[in-house]
Amino acid sequence: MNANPRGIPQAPFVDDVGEYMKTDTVEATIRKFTEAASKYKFMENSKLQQRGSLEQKIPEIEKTLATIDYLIGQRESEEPIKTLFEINDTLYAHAAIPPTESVNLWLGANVMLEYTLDEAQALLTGKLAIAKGNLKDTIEDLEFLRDQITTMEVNTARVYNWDVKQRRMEKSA
Amino acid sequence: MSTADAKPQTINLEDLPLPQLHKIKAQLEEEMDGLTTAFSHMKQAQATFRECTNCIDALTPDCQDKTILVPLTSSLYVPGKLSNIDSVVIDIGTGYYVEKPKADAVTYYNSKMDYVQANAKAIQDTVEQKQASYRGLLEIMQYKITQQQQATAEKASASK
Repeated sequence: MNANPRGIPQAPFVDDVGEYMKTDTVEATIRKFTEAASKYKFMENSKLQQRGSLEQKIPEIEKTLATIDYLIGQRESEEPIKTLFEINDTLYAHAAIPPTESVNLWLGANVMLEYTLDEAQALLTGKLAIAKGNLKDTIEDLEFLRDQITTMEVNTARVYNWDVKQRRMEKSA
Repeated sequence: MSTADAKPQTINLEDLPLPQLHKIKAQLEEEMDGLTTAFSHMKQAQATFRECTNCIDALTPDCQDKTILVPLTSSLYVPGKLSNIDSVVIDIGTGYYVEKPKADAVTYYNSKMDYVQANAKAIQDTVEQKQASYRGLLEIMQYKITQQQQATAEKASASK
């Protein structure tokens, strides 16, 4: 069986059901196919979740990167940047940010690291590229999985129909 | 529509057939669910407003020009100074932001809390009313079901 770039096995399409059925009973085959279909569906669900979380993270990274680019542009001027920052849901307060060389990035899991502006820019650009790449891969995988699920369901239907036809022929014989 | 729903007892529930009663029961359950969700949202909003007043109170005069880490985005913090601790900016909704001195901001949040509290109380009263109607409805349904069972039992024994 082939596999796609991320190692998801490809579903075999049963061309000649009669040939295929010589090796196994109908119940076992249908059970195998339904099992494979449900494994693909489970994987599809987890890929969907992955895609959702990536689609949330990417705009945040882009925003942070844009802010850093702005700070880098401002770092030549002597004046502090006046801004409003969020203290609470509907509450903002004034702050003045003097030109600084260092920023702190929240990396998650209660970890915050200090970086220079250039390091932060490089780090975030890398993260953004990885996230975008992952999103592209996940979408590709989702399409591939959809195909495999359809193939498996068609296989199951064909085996079942073949079985019905066999029984009818045996009865009339 | 709300006045008709507020007094379901004016329609005589005992006259209605069982399927109708089932429908009304489902409707009441849906309404109660919606109202309970709204109530919990109100409680949440109240808690947020209370927190905001606490935050404003934390902006004491000796915080002026203190160095803080300013969040510029959800993952980016920059060292900066608290520049103006006498006024804050409040998001009043629909994209409008208003700058107010601290005392006025506290008054604003307190009045919002009172408004939400009044609404929450009204919702609570409505929920209690609906619960009373629901209990009455369940009783009538129970009575009808037992009646129906008796009728089918009698028919069965009569046809033997």
